[in-house]
Amino acid sequence: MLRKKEKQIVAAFEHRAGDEIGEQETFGVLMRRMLRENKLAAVSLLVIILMFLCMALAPMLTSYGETDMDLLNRLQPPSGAHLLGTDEGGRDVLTRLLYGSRVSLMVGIVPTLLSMVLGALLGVVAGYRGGLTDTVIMRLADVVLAFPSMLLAMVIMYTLGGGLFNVFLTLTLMNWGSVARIARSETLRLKESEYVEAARSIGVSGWNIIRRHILPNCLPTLIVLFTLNVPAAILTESSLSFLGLGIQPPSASWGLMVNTGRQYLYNAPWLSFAPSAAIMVAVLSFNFLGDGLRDVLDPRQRKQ
Amino acid sequence: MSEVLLEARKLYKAFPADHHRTVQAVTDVSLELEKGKTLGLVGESGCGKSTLGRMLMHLIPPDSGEIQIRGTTVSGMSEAEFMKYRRMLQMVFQDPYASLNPRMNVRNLIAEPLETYRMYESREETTRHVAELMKTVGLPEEFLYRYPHQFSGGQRQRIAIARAIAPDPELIICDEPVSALDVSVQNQILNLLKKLQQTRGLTYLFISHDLSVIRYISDRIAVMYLGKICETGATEEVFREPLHPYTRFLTASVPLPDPHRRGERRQTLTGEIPSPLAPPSGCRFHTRCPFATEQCSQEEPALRQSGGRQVACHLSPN
Amino acid sequence: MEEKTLIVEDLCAGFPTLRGEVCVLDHVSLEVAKGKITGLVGESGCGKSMTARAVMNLIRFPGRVTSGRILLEGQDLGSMGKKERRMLQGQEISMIFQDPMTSLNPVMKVGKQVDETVLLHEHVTRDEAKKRTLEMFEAAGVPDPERRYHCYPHQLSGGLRQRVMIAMAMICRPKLLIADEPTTALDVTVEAQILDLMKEMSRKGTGILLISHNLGVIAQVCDDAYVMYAGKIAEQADICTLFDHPAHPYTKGLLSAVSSLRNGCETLKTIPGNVPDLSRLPAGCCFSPRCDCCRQECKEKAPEMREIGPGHSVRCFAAEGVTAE
Repeated sequence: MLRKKEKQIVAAFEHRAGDEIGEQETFGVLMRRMLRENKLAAVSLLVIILMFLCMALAPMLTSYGETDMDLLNRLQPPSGAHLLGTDEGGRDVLTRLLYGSRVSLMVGIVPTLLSMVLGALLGVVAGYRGGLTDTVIMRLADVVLAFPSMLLAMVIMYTLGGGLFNVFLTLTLMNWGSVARIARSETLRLKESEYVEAARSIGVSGWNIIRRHILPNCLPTLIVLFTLNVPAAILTESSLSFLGLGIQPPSASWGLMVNTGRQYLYNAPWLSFAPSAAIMVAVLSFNFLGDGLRDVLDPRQRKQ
Repeated sequence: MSEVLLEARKLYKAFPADHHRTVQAVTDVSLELEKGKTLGLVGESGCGKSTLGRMLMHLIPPDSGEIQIRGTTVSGMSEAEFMKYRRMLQMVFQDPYASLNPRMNVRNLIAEPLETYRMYESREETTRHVAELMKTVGLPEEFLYRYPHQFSGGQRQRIAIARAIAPDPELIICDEPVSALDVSVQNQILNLLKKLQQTRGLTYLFISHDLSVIRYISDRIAVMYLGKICETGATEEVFREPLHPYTRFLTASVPLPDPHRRGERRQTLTGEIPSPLAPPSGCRFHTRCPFATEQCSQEEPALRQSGGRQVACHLSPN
Repeated sequence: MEEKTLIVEDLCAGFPTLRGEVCVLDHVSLEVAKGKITGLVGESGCGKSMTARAVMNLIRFPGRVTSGRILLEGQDLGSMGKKERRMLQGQEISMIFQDPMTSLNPVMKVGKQVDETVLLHEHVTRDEAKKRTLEMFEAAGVPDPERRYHCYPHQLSGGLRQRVMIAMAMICRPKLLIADEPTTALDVTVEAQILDLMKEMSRKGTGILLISHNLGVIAQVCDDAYVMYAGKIAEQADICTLFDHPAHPYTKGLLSAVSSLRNGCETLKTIPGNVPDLSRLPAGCCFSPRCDCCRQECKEKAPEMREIGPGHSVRCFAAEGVTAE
C-alpha cells in the first residue's frame, strides 16, 4: 500500500503540466504523442503496416502463384529460388505466407473487432439499464459462453458451410459473450462513480452518460482485451481450417500452414517455423500497440 | 419573508441491509429552503444528511413524504417529468477527485450542462461561455484543455462549482464541498461560494459535519442525528443557545484553535454513535444523553416550535 | 534538561524523477520530549507524513532518505542493523494512521491482531497475550472488551477501530508514538474522546508526535509544535507562543484563516496562491511568492532556522521575536 503511495506521489510530480498550455487533444495529437513517447508501440505500428502492405501487395511481391504446385521440388529447404523453401506440394512457402497473411490477419482482426463492438454495446447497455434488459442479454451471453467453443464453431460451420465469411461470423458469435461480460462488470463499477452521479444530477440523458462517461472509461480494458483476442482468433481459425471447416486447402492461411507443417517437423522444419514466426510477430505487434494505445488514451498515464 | 423555493415534508428513506435488516437513513424529515438564503445541514456520520441531499436532488426516491418546488410536488415525478426542474437544481460533491470524469478535459466538463440544455448555438460559443465561467470561479483560461488530475484539490472544486453554476441554477446543494480541502484553500472556496450567492441570488443547502464552516456560511441550520432532525433555527441563535443536548455537545466538542482554552472543557460525550441498523428506542439520542429520563427511552420526541426555532426533545425548552 | 525521546537531525529525503531529484524533506529537524505531545502541522503535501514514515523506516523505493540522523532515546537508528531496526517497530516506536480500516486486517478478529503484536515482540504465552490485550482495550476505552475481542474490524465503528489501533500501538509500551491524523476520519464527538486518551497516554510517559492539519486539534493537545511548509520546518515553538505570537508569515496566514472562519468575518482570510510544486521550487525562500512581507533578499536567499526567543525558532528573514515581557 505504501509503495503504491510512493508511486502516486512520483506520478503527481511528473504530471503537473506547469508551463504547457493544454492543447486540444484530438485523436491525431494523441497518436503522434504515442509514437513519440512509446518506441515499442511505434515499431509495432510499423510492423503492422508492413504486414498489411504484404497482404495487399502479395501478387507483386512474388512471382509464384498461391497454389502453384511443383511436385518435383517437394520439401525443398530455403534456397535462392525459394526463399523460404517449398512445402509438401512443391508450393513456394514465402508465397503462401504472403497470401496467407490476408486470411490470417483479416481473421484475426475483423471478427475480433466485430465481437468487441457487439459485445461492448450489449454489455454496457445491460449493465446500465439493469433489470430485464440485463437478464436477457446476460443469459444469451451465458449460453454462448457455456458452449465449448470448438463445438459451437463446428456446429455453425457445418450448418453454414465453409468459407471465409462464415469463419468471420462464427468467430464473432463465439467471442461477443466474454466481451459483454467484461463490459457489463466495468459498467456496473463505473455506474457507481461520483462523476456519473454528477452527470445524472445535471440531467444528462442515459445514452449520453454511456457515451461520454462509461464507454471512454471502459476503453482501456477493452483495448487490452482486443489485443488478447486477436491471436486467439488467429489460432481458432487455424484449428477450424485444420478440421476442414474453415479455409479449404489448397488456399493458405498461417494457421493451416502451421498445422500441416507439423507432420514434417523433423525433415522440413521451415514449413512450421515460417508461419509460426509470422503469427508471433503479428501477435506481439498487436499487444504492444494495444498497450501503447491504452496508455495514451489514459490522461493520467501520460509522461511529460 | 422570502419565497420558499423548496419544501420537504415528512421524508422517509430506508435501505435494505444484510440479514433482512434495514438502515433507517432518513426518518420523518421536513425542511424549507428560502430563496437567496443558505440552510446548513449538520450532523455526524450515519445521520443521513447525504441521503437527504440526494433525495432532494431527485437522485434517490423517498419511501414516503413529499418534496415540493415552488408549490409543485416533484417527488413522485418520473425522470422525464422532472427534467424541467433539473436545470435549476445542481449539486457540488464532496470528493473533488471522484466527481470529475478523469477522461474529460475542463472544457467538456464545464460544457456538459450547457450542452445538455442546449444553451448555445455553436461549439465555439459554448467554449467561450466556459472560459467566462472559469474566470468567474478563478481558474486561468489557459487551463481549458487540461485534465482533472493536473489540478490541485481546490482547483478541481472550482471546476465542479463552475459546472454547477453553468446552467444558471437557482438552488445548489453542496455536499461537504470543502471537507477534503486544506484550511486556506477551504476559505478560498467558501469566499467564492458566498460571492456567487450574492451576485447570482443563489440558494444553498450546505451539508457538512464541520461546525465552523456551517456557522460561517449558513443563515439557518438544521442539526441531524441518526436520520432525524433534532434542532433547527437561525444559525447564531442555535450556536449561542443550543436547545437540544446533542447540539450542545456537538458545539462544545469542536477542538478550539486556542491553547489557552484547554481546561475549560465541558463534558465530553461518552459512547459511540449507535448503528443506524438498530437505532435506540424512544429518543435516538437518549443512550448518550446525560439528561435522559424514563420518558426519553420510551417516547420519541416530536419536533416542536419554539419561537423561530424547532427542537425535538422532551426536556426542552428548559 | 528534558529527556528527549526522539531527535531528528537534518533529515533529507527525496524521489528521483524525470526532472531530477525532487526533495520532499529538506533538512528537517525536530525533537519530541519524554511524556510530551509534539505537534507537526501543515497542509497537504508539506511533508509531515513523509517525516513520520522516515522515522518509522517506511519509505520505500523510489523514495529514499538521503541524509540526516534519527535518534531514539539517544540511539542512532541509522546505525542499526536491518533486523534490529525492524524489531523496533511496534515495540519502541509505534504508529497509528488516519484510516484504521485500511491499517487493520479485515479478515482477522481484532483481539487476535493485537495479540499477534505482543507475541511478535515479547516472549509470553498466548493466554498472557490475551490478558494484556484485554487490559489494553480497557485502557483505551473500548467498552465491553471481552465481546469486542472477538469482533472483526468492519463490525466496529470508526471510533472503536481507532481505539483498537491505539491499543495495538501501545501494548508494548513504546517510548514513542507517532499519530498521523488520528482523528481526521472521526466524528467530532468521538474525536474529543480520542484526544483525551492521547493526553492520558502522554502523562504515562510516552512521547507522542502528533501530525495534523487541524489547528484546533494541535492547540488542544500539544505541548509544542512544528509548522512545516514545502518539506521544510518553517517555525517551531511551544504551543502558546505559536498561537499567540506566530512569527512566520505562513503560520500567521494559517492562524488568521482559521480565526477568520471562527469569527465569521465577511470575507475569510486566505493565503494567496497555491502550495508549490516541490519539483519546481522558487529560488530563495519557498514561501516568497505567497508572502505579503516578502523582501528582495527573500527572493534570492533561502533563510535558515534562527532562534528568536526561548524555544522559538523560525525560518524567515523578516520575522521578529517576542520581546521578553
